[in-house]
Order: sequence, then C-alpha cells, then structure tokens
Amino acid sequence: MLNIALPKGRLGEKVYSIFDSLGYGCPEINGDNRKLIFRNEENGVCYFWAKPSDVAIYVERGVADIGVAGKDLLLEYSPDVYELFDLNVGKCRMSVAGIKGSRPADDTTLRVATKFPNITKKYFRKQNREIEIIKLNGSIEIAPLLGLSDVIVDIVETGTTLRENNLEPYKDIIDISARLIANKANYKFKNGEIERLLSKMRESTAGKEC
Amino acid sequence: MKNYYELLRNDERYVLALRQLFEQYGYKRYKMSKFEEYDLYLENKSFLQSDRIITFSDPSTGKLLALKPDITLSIVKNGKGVTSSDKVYYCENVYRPCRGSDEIKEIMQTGLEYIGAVDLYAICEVIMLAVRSLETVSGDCIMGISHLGIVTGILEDTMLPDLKKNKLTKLIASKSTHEIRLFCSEENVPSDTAEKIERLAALYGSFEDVLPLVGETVYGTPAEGAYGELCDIFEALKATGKTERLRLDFSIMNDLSYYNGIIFQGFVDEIPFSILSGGSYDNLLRRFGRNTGAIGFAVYLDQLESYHRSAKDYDVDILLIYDEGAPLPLLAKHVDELTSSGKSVRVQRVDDGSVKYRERKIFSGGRVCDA
Repeated sequence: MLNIALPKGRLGEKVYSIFDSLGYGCPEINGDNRKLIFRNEENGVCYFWAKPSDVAIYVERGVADIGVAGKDLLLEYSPDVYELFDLNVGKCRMSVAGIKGSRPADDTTLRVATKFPNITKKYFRKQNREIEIIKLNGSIEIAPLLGLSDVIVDIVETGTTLRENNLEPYKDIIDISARLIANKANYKFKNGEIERLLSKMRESTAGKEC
Repeated sequence: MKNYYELLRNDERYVLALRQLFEQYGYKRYKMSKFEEYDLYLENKSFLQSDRIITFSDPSTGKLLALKPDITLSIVKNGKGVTSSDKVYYCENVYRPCRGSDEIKEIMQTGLEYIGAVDLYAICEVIMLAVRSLETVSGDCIMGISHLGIVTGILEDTMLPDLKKNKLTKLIASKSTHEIRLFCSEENVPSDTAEKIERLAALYGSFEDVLPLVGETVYGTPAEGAYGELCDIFEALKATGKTERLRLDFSIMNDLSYYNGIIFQGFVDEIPFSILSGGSYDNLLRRFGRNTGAIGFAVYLDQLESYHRSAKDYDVDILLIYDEGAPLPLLAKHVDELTSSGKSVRVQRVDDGSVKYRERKIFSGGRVCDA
C-alpha cells in the first residue's frame, strides 16, 4: 500500500488524474464529499489531501510514502526528502516583480515583500544586494502599490494578476513545477512499489517533455 | 529474582543490548565528561549536524565550554588511536536540536569508533556491527551503503569547481535525476559524464544487483579504484552473512571534508528517518594532524521511544485503597507482604482512575480484601 499526499486544489486534481491514468486510481476520490482520506486496496493506494505547503511535512515524517509538492515549496522549506521526478505540471516561475516601468534605486536597501523569504534571501545574497524582507502571507501584489515594498518575489503563472495591478516581472529567478517526492526511509522499505510507479511515470511522459 | 530488565524502556534495553554487542567484539567503553571546550566545535562546525550549541563560561578558568553536541570529535581530539589501533564505544547524552526543530534536546547516542590502521577486516567488522545494531532494534531493517570515492571520482570528470561539485552532490543526495540533467546542461558538463551522474543517483538495490551496474557506470573514470575497493568489501562482507540487509545507495552523503571512503546509514521499519549513521573519517583525523584511519558509527535512540512505543497493559499489579481511619502500621505491613511476593503495589486513598491495575484491593477493618 502506497500512502500518497496530494496538494488540495487544482494542482492536486491534475496530479491525481496522472496517477489515475497510470493505474493508481481511487474512484471514491471523485465523489461529492468532504472526505480527506481515500483508500483503494485493489490498486494499493491511499491518498490524502493536504495543504500544499504541508505535503512535504507529511512525506518527510513518513506518514506519506510519496507526495507531490511544488518546487517553490521544496526550495523554501528544504525538506529532507527525495525529489524523484518532475511531473511537468503546475508550471510557473518565481520572479522579482514591481511597478511597471519603474526600477528601484540600487543605492538603497531593497524592500522585498514575499511569501518565500528563504528563496528571496538566497537569490539576493547571490546578487550581493542588501535587502529587507517583508514576509506576507497573501495578496503580495498590493505591497509595492501601497508603498510597503519596492519589489515582490512571487510566483507568476500567466502574469495576468501582475498586469491587472500595473506590475511587471523584472527578473525570473527559477522555473517551478510539481515534483514527486518520497520519504527517504520509506523509499527503501517500499522500493519496489515506488520504483514501479516512477517507471510508469517516466514511460508516460517520455517524448512529451518540451 | 525480580526481572529488572522488564522495568526498562525500549531505548534503555537497546542501549544495554548494544553495549553487550560492542563489548563482545572487544570495544572498550569510553566515558567522557559532559563538557568540551567550545573552540573544538567552532573549528569543526561542518562536522556537526547543527551549529546550535549550548555554551557557558567555566567560572574557574573563564573558558567558554559547551554541552557536547557530538562524541566523535572529543574521542579524536583526546588522542584515541595515537599509538596503536583503538576500539572504543560510548553511550552518552548529547545536546543538539532535534530533527525538524530548533529546540535543543538531550539525546542518547550510542556508537563505536575504530581508530588506527583501518584494513578490510576493520571495515567489515564495523559494517557488520552496524547491521547487528540495527537488528537489535528491529528485525526489519535496511542499511544503505555508499562509497564517497565513487561519487567524487565520477564528479572529477565534470571539471567543475568544488562549489558546483557540492551542488551536484546535493542533487545526488536527493536522487533528483531531472535536476542533475538540467544542472549539467547549464554547466556544459560532457553528456556522458552527466549520464553517469544521473545513473549513479538513481541506483538503489542489493549489492548483487547493483554492483555490476556501478562497475559499468564507473568504467574509464577516476572512480574505478574506489569501485575495486567496494567489490573487495562486498566479497569480505559475504563471510559475515549480513549482506541481505545491505543496499547500495549513492544518495547517502556526508561532508567530504571529514568523511571519505565507505559511508552508511541505517533504517528500521516504522521510523521515517535514519537511526544509524557512520563511515570512514580519515579526513577528520588529518585535520587533527594524525596520519591514520578511522571508521565508526552512531545510533540515535531519541526517535525510538516516539515510534516504537511499548504499550504497557498495567501500571501496577495492585491498586490498594485505604480509608481514613485505617491503622497505618498494619497497612504498611500488608503492603510489605505484597511487594515481597514480587507484586507492584500502589497505595492511595481513592481510585481516581489515573492508574491501570491488574487488581484493585481495599484495606478495610485491618484486612486486605478484593474490591
């Protein structure tokens, strides 16, 4: 039995459909209910929906053998897990963005609003730029508009939210997509099951990568 | 005779079993003081799992001392193995942050060190004892083994600076073959070398299955020498009869500035982290100006009580309730009789439901009777 943590929301649903197409379906999951844990003995899987930022915690602590988490969260929290596969879904990028047409001055401490302080620190340390991090939990885009920060570091998918708020990406930091992660101990004890799933994933995406 | 062993918690039983095992192979117990000069850790920060250390000033000398976060450094510093081969083991509390937390905790650590001329026999003995230590904790255990010489040998062909090689070792440690491919392409690593690194990261399995694949991967690279050593170790390990627990896994990593050669990590069922970690650390000895070898391992017992809980059916054999006017000397005499018969007895005024007992008795009218 493989215990799989999936991120609640659109990405999780997309990822579940990949698992389903590979023979790891659990029909109950599509039912109209508010359950969070679903088991299918026949296919040897038990899924549970977790908050996206918690998936890696469930996997790191072995409650889930494997899970799917965005690269952004893996970079931010650095959980001690295996990152086995790039599912190539939930693609977006982490960018530095700010008010359209304006560029913050280089001679002052840069105020950066973000949900991702660790990624931000690491990026600007490489630039040798002095920054002040303003940790926010949502609606990051309003920070430069209200003068709370000079720039933001956030996930950009299509850029629509930025455009509609008169913002633009200044610099892309890294490409993001959903990754298959595994607990390091459980990978060893359930190696056959995990490797079988992994090779099915590799086969199904072979040739599809752009 | 009372069986004192039954009183012990699981982790305490493991410590006893491990001590017995180590002594059976001639390892001598090494008892240390709880404190160490802070400088030792300052100079060897990256050897430690965390740089968070409890420090305090010694009132008599003014020197900055630390509660030990690690044992190996103290053993090496104190000159073990200077004159000849030394085999020591220890059971000590260390003070460092627990996994996934910033809070420093007292953690029981047991382990052994072999310092001196490390030959094939010494390596095999230490690996065998590590496997037997895992078996002490659980019959369902796995020991992952890597050889750092193979990893560094293959990385040598990338011609990258150390900083970038370190990045690659991190990617190997997370088995991220897709990231290795991307990184190698960004850094213009020759494609055949990049493929070898990817293959090495993905390899996992028994020596019988994986060793030939390692041989193919390292062919023609600077890792061939280390591969030969790994083959010799496997041949010698076969004699110990412990090879079925071993898995070759190059995702096991340790700091290259201290460790070299064979490294390993042990896992037992139901614990999602490694509980045993060890390997050859000749490089650490060189930092102390010693031109000799060393290999050892530590077993971390702090997680065992959380995951391998032993549910006790009863707290006591007898819960004895007495009332206000009970003649106390007579009560004490009855309690003494009951405990002398080997039973555990808890005496209290009322049964508040907080104690699990086999039998509940009442002391009333100068007699003990069933409730």
